[in-house]
Amino acid sequence: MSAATPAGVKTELRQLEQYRDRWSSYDEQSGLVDLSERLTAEKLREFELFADYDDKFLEKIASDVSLASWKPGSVLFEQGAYIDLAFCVVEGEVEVFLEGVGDGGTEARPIFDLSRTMIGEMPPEAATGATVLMRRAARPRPSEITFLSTMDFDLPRGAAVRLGPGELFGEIGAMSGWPQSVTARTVSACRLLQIRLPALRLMKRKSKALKERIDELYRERSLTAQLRGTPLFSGLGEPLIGALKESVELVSCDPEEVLVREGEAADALYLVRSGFIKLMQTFGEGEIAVSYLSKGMTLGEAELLIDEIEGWRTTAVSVEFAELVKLPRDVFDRLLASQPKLAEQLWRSAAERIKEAGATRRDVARADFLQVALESGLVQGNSILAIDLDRCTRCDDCVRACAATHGGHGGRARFVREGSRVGNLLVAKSCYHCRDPVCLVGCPTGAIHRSGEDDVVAVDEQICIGCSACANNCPYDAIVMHDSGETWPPDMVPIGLRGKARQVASKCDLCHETGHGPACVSNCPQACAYRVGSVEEMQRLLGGGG
Amino acid sequence: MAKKRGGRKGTFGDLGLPVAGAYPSTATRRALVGLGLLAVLVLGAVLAWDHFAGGQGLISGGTLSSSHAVFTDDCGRCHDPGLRQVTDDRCATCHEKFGDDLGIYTFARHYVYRSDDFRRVVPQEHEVECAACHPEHRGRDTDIADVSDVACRACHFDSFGNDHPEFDFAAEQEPDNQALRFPHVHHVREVMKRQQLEDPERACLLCHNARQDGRGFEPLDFDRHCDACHLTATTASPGLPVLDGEAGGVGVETLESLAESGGPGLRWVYFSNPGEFRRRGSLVVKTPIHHRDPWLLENLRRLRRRLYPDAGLADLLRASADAPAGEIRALYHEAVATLEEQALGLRGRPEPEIQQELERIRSLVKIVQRRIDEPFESLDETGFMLAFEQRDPRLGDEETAAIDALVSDLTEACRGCHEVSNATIVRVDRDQRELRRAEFDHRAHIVQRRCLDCHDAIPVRDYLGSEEKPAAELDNSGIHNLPRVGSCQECHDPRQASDRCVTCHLFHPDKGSRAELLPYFEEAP
Amino acid sequence: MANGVSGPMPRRWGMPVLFLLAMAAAAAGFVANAYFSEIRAGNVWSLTYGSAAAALLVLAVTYGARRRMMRLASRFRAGGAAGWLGLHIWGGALFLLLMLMHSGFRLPSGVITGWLWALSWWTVLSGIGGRMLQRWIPRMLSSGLTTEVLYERIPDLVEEIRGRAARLAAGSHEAIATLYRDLEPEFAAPRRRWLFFVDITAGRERRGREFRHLRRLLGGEDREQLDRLEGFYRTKLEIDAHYTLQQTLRLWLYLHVPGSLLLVALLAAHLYSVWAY
Repeated sequence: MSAATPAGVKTELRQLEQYRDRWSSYDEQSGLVDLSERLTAEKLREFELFADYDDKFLEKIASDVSLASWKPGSVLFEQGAYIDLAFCVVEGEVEVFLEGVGDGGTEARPIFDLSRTMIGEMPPEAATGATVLMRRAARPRPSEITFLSTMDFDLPRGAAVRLGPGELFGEIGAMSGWPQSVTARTVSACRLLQIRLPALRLMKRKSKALKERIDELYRERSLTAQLRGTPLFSGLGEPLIGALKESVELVSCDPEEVLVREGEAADALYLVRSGFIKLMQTFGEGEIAVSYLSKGMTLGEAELLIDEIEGWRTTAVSVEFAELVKLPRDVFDRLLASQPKLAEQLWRSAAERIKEAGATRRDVARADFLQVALESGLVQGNSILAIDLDRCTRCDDCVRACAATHGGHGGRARFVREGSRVGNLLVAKSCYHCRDPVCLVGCPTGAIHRSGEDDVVAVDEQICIGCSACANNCPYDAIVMHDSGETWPPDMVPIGLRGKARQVASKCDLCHETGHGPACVSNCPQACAYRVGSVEEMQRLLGGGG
Repeated sequence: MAKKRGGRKGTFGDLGLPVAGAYPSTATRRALVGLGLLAVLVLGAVLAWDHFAGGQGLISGGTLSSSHAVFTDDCGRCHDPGLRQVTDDRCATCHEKFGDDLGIYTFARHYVYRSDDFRRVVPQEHEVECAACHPEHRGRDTDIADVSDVACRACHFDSFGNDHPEFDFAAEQEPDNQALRFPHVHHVREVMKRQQLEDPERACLLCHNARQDGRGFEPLDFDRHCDACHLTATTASPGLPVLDGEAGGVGVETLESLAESGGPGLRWVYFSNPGEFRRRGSLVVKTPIHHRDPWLLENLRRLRRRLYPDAGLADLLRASADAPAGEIRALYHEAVATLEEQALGLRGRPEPEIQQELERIRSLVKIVQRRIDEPFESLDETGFMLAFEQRDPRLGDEETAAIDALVSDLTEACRGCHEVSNATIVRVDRDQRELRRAEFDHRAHIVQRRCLDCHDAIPVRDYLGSEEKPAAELDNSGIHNLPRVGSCQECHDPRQASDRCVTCHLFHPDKGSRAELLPYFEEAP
Repeated sequence: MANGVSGPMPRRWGMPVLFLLAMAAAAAGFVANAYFSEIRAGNVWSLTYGSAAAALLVLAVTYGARRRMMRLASRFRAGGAAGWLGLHIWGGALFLLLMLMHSGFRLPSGVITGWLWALSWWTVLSGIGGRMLQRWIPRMLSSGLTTEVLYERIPDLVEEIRGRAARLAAGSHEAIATLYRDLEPEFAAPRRRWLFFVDITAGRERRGREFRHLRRLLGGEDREQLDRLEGFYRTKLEIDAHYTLQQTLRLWLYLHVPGSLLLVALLAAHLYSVWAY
């Protein structure tokens, strides 16, 4: 590109290149017939989805939107896959279904092929179609988590739903960073609008309409399943669920937002969709954390059931962003009246909650630990590197192993054996692989992504442009920017980076591409490095360690 | 969207110390390996120096014993390449230089030590290599002949205390050689009376003279031990009929007739005193009679040859009394030597009967030699004795009876002590040695034990005070008056005296007795 | 699975039990041996024990190699380092036993064999000593200290603390500045103190008295600054404790590793001499 090129053309070229960059990872073998060139604002506005936005905004997101033609029978994504984009049907029909149905011979490889995340241990079934179910079963998840928000579609096993023009799908998984609950396959030849996560986020923020639409979609597609998936409502009949669906409110919380306050009148039952809710009680002059709620748990059953309890027993504060379903008191009362069995379940749940709170109040250390866990984000972690300092000989073999695994000799370790101490455990500054990874937010290229179906958050160094947004976003210092030793080439887009030293975000990826477990754990000679998946496990470790 | 928590970005600890951006050092501890490798290099250099500058002392498994110390820098002298022990062949290059006859250092020697029983040689696959029992590289002062018990136990019984078999003489059911009639009690009593001895054991020592090295006793000797009482100057033979040269018949040859015949081995005739013969008509009386009286023996031989014309070999028994201690093999050797000496005396004599005799001697030498060379043939007296089974069939009964009567008369003086059968004085085993495979040092034991404490098979002490004679089965020369192995075990056990195998089974004679071997070395090529 | 969430592991007895059994078997073999055949250079027993010992030694040394080739170890699924350490420790102990059996519990008289014997003892004993340090020091470090530092970064951190303390002292009450001047040599560089082996919080209380004394005299902002200075001082002491103890954890390897490499080299020479002669 010469310096004489007019600024406008330059921008346009840059945008074109950016677009190609972002969409070029689709390979030929998938059922993709054709991928559009970068769409202009006018073109975009032709689609209903983008009708409400102004030109400037559309230009901004255009690089993250594409129009693609697919062969009939192509698998767009598989159940359990993490994807970073949503689809909107323009032409043709797409079928979404739960695995387990005999699927009629997929000719093309899915574009989000799970097999690429699995190197060593592909079971023989992987080649057929049952892969996902197989691997889901292989690693049991902590039972208390129900993946409500993964239920994009309310489908019984084996059933399929066909989506026609104008329908949006995949967005809930993409937005919340959860794996897809269904497999999507084109039925006829299709034209699909594909919107990458950054664009989707911007759109949602910009347009109330879209937010409403997405909420609406959520209400339509997953709320039923979610409600039924809640132990509380699992026994309800179809009509009741339907009635519930209409009367609930969807609530979003900002970080540290107080949802209810201790002592205030209890007016509703809350059901946590995503995020964490910290439950606090006054203790002496301050407050202590007595418990916390994660996905699928309910708040308020004790208060609503027991007349003696006047107001909220606990203050509920969202830890990070949280999404909840609110069931107003009158709806709850009606429900209870019609379902005497429900009361029993709720009583049990309430009793447990009160017992737990009592236990925590008696055991201040536990309260302390809960507080620390909530504050330091340990509750977020799917895989926290904890080192038992009682046994650690400070040999740094974990770090060496990490460096060796990532880049061989002279490689760069992806964590430091420093961090906060919880009892005898050192929580190293290594990625927690959060349930709700805030680092994914704001990545302009989507280089940082959820990889595979194992909650691994990884950085694709090929795409990373070193903007350090993720490193700044990470509350736990787990992402480090470092010089790759290269400089950006002179034809680099964005232009601002040309000739500059290339920075790359580096973080723990649980060694997921190597086919073996985290090297830091397996290379610890004292067996004192652990990957901890939940607060309960960590508590056990603490107890065990003294 | 994301919010920073309490400004703690990039810090740790109470002070908010900065977190390491990248890990400071992932390449440490090179020095560890470096030091080790340096040490290895030094070691390599030392080894190389050791190898090229001559000696190979460094890789040696240890100091060699004094005997082999001269080979310290010459590993190849004994070792072949490969994971093998030193082979017997390598040992044999020095130790069997002098032939199998010596056999001192061979495995066969180990197994058949002093038993001379070649039938007992174990099959090849069960043979043990020298090095198996004689480890080297155990330090300069180690005695490699000092075989550890474990090595013996590899083939033999477990422990001396529990499993040592009974001594051969005790295990054998046959009575001992009764060639000599010797009532111990009577002799001890007589000797004590004559020499006025207080202690009966002094009487023992009068005849049983310990050898210089304390192991075993000097052979009994008539001249030293019996002469004082037996065959005195007045001992006379009965009147013996003199053989009439023309008439034939049965009788003894006189000195004169013997001198005339001039046969082999009769040189003694010229040194004999004719005054010892008294002629009484056709009878002759010999007085006094000597021990091993040549005239008597020669006449006995002649009578024997008449009775058993084929028993030429039995003549050799004449030499048997001079055979060295218990060595039947040596007896054979001596027989050969005797025969050859006879042949030497006859050489150059043209008379046909002499030539015939010479021929006979030569064939005998051949037969005997073959028996010596054949290791799996038992060497005993039966070979000689076979010839006595058949008397000359041409002899008439009358003649036979006459000969028997003459033999009886001739050996009258001998039969006081000796057994005579087949016109032969039965050979006396003067050596009395019974423990053939072990060495017993009396000197080490006499300090703590009296003779009769152990040698109690003949109840000498019980009869000393009285004039009573013990029954023949209690006191005769057939009794092994030796302690059994249990008697040894009383003291030799792990908590008391040494019970090691080599305590008794010393396979290599001590250096003092090496002198005996010298003749073999002189004969060596 | 790619994402192995590992919970707290129960103490694994498999390895020690296995090796104790092996030791018992070896000892039984040795006792039986005393009856059947003496263990002697070159005989079958000696060769068996010797080659088993050599194999164990090589196995034990492989642990060192595995630590230096982690990538390969992970790639070829060579097992966790903890298991290897178990093998290393128990295998090493068993090696010594077999070595002694190989030599028939006699002092070898050869030069190389003598060195082998001595170095085997040295290496195994230093290893056992090191293992004891490894179990003892971490407990000391985690029991009394709140800070966790990387050994290699100690000089930097000490410098950082000294800088902060100096800046604090420069802009604060005269009494605090004076106290800092007293303390300055202690802030200057990482310090080893043997006392830390006995008392991990060595020195904290003694100095604490000075701080407490001064605190009574100061008020308001000055007191706050004094507290911060005390914080610096305490952290410095903790870092010194880390420095002393972590250094020990690193230095004992110098007793163990070079000797063991030499041991392997000697073993090679020994094998060569056995093969060639």
